[in-house]
Amino acid sequence: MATETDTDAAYESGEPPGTHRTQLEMFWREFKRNPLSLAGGGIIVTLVIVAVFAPWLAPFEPTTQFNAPEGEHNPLAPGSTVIEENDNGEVIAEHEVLLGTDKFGRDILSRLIFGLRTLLTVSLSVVLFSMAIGVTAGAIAGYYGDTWIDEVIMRFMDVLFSFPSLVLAIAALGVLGVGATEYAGFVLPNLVKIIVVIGIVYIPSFARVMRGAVLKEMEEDYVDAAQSLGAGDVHILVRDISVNTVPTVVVQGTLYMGTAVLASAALSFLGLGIQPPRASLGLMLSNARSFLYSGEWWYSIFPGVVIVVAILGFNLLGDGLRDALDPRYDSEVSE
Amino acid sequence: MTPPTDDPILEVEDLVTRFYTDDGTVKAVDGVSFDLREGETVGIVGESGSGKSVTAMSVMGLIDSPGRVEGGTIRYRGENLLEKSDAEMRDVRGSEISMIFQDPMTSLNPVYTVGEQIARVIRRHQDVGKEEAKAQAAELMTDVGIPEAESRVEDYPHEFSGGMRQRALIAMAISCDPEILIADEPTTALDVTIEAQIFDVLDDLQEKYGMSVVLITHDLGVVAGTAERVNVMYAGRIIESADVDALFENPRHPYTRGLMRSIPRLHGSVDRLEPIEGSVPDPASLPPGCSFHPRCPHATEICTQHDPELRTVEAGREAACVHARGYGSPDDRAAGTGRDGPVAADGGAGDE
Repeated sequence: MATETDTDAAYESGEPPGTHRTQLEMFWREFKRNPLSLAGGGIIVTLVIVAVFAPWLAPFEPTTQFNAPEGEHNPLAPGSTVIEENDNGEVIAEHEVLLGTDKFGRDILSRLIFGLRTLLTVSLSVVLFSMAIGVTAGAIAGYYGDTWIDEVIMRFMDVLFSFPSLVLAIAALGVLGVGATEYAGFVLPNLVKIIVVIGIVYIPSFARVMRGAVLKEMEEDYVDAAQSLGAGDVHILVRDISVNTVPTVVVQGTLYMGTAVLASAALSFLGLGIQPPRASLGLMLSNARSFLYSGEWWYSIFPGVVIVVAILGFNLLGDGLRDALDPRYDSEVSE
Repeated sequence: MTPPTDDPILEVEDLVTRFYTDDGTVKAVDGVSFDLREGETVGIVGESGSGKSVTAMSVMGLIDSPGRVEGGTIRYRGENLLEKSDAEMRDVRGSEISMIFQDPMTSLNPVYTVGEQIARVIRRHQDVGKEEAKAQAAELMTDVGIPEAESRVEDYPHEFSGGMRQRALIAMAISCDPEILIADEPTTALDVTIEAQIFDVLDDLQEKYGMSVVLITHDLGVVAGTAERVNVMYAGRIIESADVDALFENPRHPYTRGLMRSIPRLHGSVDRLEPIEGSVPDPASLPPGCSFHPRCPHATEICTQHDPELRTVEAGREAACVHARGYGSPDDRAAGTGRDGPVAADGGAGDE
């Protein structure tokens, strides 16, 4: 019987009563069992550290343009020496570029680091944006399950869900215009636009997951118990139900980080996302396209690898979190 | 404590609760009436699906869609709870009427410590600070027999065994000194050894706090030891109501007798249990006449046509069976159907 095993497990852990094992500790015990989860976690932690400390880690400003030595031209291969000139064309210094330069003579490593920073910022904002709206809508729909409120919210989500994500983003940016634009004296920053057009199609996923989780929690006896002791609807939704759906939402958010990374890189690749001269991995790939067959492999390989590693990291981490937070996942069908 | 009086603290009258499902309307509770006096324990007994839990949830005002309380009154200290607003009912729940549930394993929220959960109920109904509430929580946990309560307030529900969790839930339910405690199968999910302990705790608390208790169970044995009055439910109705001694001595309704025969006994000559044949009818499509007649060993033709109402068969006890001793002619009080009752007032079944 499931209930008995639960209790037994609590006792068999052999710890004296009074040592409180928190949920967090139990989660960590489960999480560190899987090497893939740890790898995913390691990748993401590393990437985040790099992104946060980008100004200190990058060897050069991402926009500084270097000249190639006599007889050579940008893009320069990894390990080449570049020449830094001042405004009057006098040579100030010579540097070695670890990962080469792009076609404008900018250091690839510095642009990777700053590009990663942009990419993670955009992706995180996208996920938080869609999570905030989706989770709220899903919670309301779930709490009023099978009423007209639920119907209206979820049918609207179905409509959103039916848009192919990138196509909607492209269409929206086509209407709104690329780059920062001004509407009736109100400046709409480019970043905000990108976040909204990518994030809007992820809203339904969060809404569905949250609705399902809320419906499941509502069936739990502790909701009845809380009601029978005088707790109100909103109180129960916020204090009891939503805290129990945190794992589900965190897992979904992590998995969608991977998707958001890909989408924002793709948007940049198409020239609709981050605008130059800001560093963007998608844009780097786009510029590197014309050098694919001429031997300048470093130009496209490095940004490509960073994107792949980031997506892989988020997916491994997301799967690991899911397994650790909800061991029943395998046997249950989530919506 | 208020001195015990004979006035009922809770009067349920003609309660009707229906569920509107895709498969039709289910009369889960169909005209249930019972009283609860101060300091008294009333048992509601019945098989699964007999409507006993729905009755309890109706009293709490916690019937969710697609269910609805359709009729009757539920008077608590003279006030009809069914006329109260949602906000008023929230104030009643927990502080006036509390409830404990069948499955203690899932009735606590896994993400908060037990102490926090008890303290929260206290703070919901009383104007006390966090520290004070926590201290009260520890005190209550001692009251319900949780050892080392001072340190165990910091425990999470998963660190508690089933019996301890049910104690914690009882602590939550009594934290604001309610007048009425509804216990819905409080020991069904627990070991038999724990069962006795839980009832001991409930007994002690009832004495200490002067609560009235509605005990819902499928187990007549449990009722025998704890309740003063018993209401037996079948298919959404009370079919027999009596003092516990009278009921066990001489059950009048064939269903009650059936239930008693199906209890294992330590003493006595019965060496085989006699289960009641068949199962509880689908409440969406009850048989015509008396809803127990397809399973009743004494059913006669009238039972298939006449649906007997609950009637006083003796001072202080009621039954709903035309064959019950003291029931009288089925038409005595029924609106003149003009049918002659084929069964005598002292009809055979009751004399067993």
